[in-house]
Amino acid sequence: MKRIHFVPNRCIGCEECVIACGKAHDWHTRAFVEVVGGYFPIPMRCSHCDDAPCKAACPTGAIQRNEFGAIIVVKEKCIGCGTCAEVCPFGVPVIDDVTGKMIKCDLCSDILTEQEPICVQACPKDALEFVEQDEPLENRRQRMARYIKNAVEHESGLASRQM
Amino acid sequence: MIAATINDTEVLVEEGSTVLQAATKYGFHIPTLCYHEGLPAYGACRMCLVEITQGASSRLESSCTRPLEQGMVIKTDTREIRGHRKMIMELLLARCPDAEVVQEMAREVGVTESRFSKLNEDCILCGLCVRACRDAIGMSAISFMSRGIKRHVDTPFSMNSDVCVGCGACARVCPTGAIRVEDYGAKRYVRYFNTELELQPCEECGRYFTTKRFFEKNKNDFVGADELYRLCDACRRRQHASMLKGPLVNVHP
Ligand code: SF4
Ligand code: FES
Repeated sequence: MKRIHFVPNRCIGCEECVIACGKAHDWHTRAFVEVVGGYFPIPMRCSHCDDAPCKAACPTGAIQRNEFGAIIVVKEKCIGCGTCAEVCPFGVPVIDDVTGKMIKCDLCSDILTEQEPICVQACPKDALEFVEQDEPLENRRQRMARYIKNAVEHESGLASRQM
Repeated sequence: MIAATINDTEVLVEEGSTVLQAATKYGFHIPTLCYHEGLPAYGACRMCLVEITQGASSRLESSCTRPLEQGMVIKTDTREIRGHRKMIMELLLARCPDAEVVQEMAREVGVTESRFSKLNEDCILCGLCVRACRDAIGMSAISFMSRGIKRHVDTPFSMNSDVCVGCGACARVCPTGAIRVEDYGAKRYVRYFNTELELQPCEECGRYFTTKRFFEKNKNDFVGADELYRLCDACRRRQHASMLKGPLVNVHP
């Protein structure tokens, strides 16, 4: 099962992902970029939680998990009560005022068989990666070690430049 | 699996399906006004009438409430059915001449004028709001009142409801837009039901993001006393982003 991962310190806050997402979904964007601490842009979207609170709380069973492991909303079943919006710890689902239905990230399930999610494609800095969720732990450790190595080199590079 | 015949096509659907669901699955369009996939069927509008033949007897039934049975022979669009649908639409067109869904549906079945004297209602008595409130949210703040031509949807005694949580599902499922929910200042008004509720402000930014009663209900039912849920959606996102920031800013890809 593949998920969207965020690679630290690559995001430049351009919001290309937000725009691409809007374009692909009738301008109801389901991607967000939050700027914290003044200048750290961090892209946020639905986590498609394993134990999704919105799915558990939906009174009509409109929120379901599809074949890609994405948590999606079945429009025909949604009554727009907004319970999901209230129980989501990430503040992802929002009720659209025009249709009266909830909208959220669907992991671009409609194009997923051939392409990656649209936000991942749109990111000019590769800050979003579409990766296998259950990749071997070995690979994860190696990736993390690489990040740290780069960080150390980056820091020492800065230090030598200052001298 | 249940086998039946719809408009001369053999169909095979799961047990527990209604006639309407089976027909829709096989691409036969049946007009509906009071059906919502997320709510229990109620059979109020009768637009979904179909002809069902079982053995020697044949009768008209509403397909949204009728479970499919083995060997049923169903017709969804006979002359008789079309006649009934036209009559229903004429009546509804007289009751709610301004409602868009009614006008649209009337056009679909070929009705342009109504022979009956016009009323000026905006509610078609489909009961979607009542079902959303009772069956989905579980509050039963509203229900049908009175009988015959006086039938309408309201809160008990038409008074400010003390159980309504102000979620707004009734307004969002209402096909005619009769119910409107408006926020002014720190209050939410459900005008159609003479109800007003206090709003819950976000602890971070102060924006009103839900009603106090809906907040309490969800706190009891799902989220517990976690501080996070006192924030609006935007502040929850920001909160999470800043939690990520700490460990992430020191690593470089
Ligand atoms: S108020 Fe709207 S939802 Fe409720 S019964 Fe009337 S038309 Fe249906
Ligand atoms: S849709 Fe079946 S009676 Fe209204």
